[in-house]
Amino acid sequence: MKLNTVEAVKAAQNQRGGIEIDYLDDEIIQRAIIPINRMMDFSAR
Amino acid sequence: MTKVVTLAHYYTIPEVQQMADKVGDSLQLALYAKECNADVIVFAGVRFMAETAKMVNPKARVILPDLGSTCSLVTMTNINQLKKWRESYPDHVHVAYINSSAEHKALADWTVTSSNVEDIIAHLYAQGKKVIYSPDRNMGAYLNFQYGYDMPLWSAVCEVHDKFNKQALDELINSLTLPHFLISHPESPLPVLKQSDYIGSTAGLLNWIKAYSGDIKAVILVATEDGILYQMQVPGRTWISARRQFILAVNVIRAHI
Repeated sequence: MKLNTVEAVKAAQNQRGGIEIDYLDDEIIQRAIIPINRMMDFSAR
Repeated sequence: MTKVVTLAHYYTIPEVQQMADKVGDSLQLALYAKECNADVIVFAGVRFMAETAKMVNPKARVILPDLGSTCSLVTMTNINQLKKWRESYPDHVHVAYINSSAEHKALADWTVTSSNVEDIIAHLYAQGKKVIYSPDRNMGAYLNFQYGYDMPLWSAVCEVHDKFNKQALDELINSLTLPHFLISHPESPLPVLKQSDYIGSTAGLLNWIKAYSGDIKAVILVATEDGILYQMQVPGRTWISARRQFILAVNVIRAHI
């Protein structure tokens, strides 16, 4: 967490730094979202 | 105009928490990421948290400020080995802690956070299910001990929490002349957890502090990442000296590593 410096967060807010999470494989997302949604639905009860 | 929303985990430094639109634990931030109407989400946390935000809100661009921000629970886990391990328990439900990669979650039936893990696993056992738990060995060992489960466990740890150790804790406690309490995150090792007055998620630890009405001079030992100490300041209460004790406690535990 310490790598989240003020400077790094500011650069990300201005979209001049950081890494965009755009590398996830669609097939992985489709499978991974199932257990995540199951948890979120459970917690919303 | 582009709407940028900044999310920060309780474990980030205070200055970053002050920059955020929402500060929370893993579950709170995932729920917020799903519902927030943002074009861009800046996620001040670790990589798997930003990946979860992207998966629950695919329309938003999600940006992690630093690529290197990860966790040993991810780096200690080989996905091919995990897949074989999971396949060796075909009649079990695979519950994965949310502190895991997207590829890891894709091999799970449920994800959990430290806020809901006890309820979800109790729910599964109540249904007669058999459960395997990954990746956090310490949290799994605690659940097996506390509730008498027999879950096979994957063996990875959060290196920050795993460094808290009973010997250092005993030395610290023996040196204290004031009353004390130990509150711990369940990623800590079982011998530390067995000695704790309270065990809970980051949000749970904060709630414990907010509800605390005992001796103001008591030393509260906090076994988790020290970023949370910022949120433990309670307005209207004389916590200044007590907060020094929190920091002292955490640093002393770490100094014995």
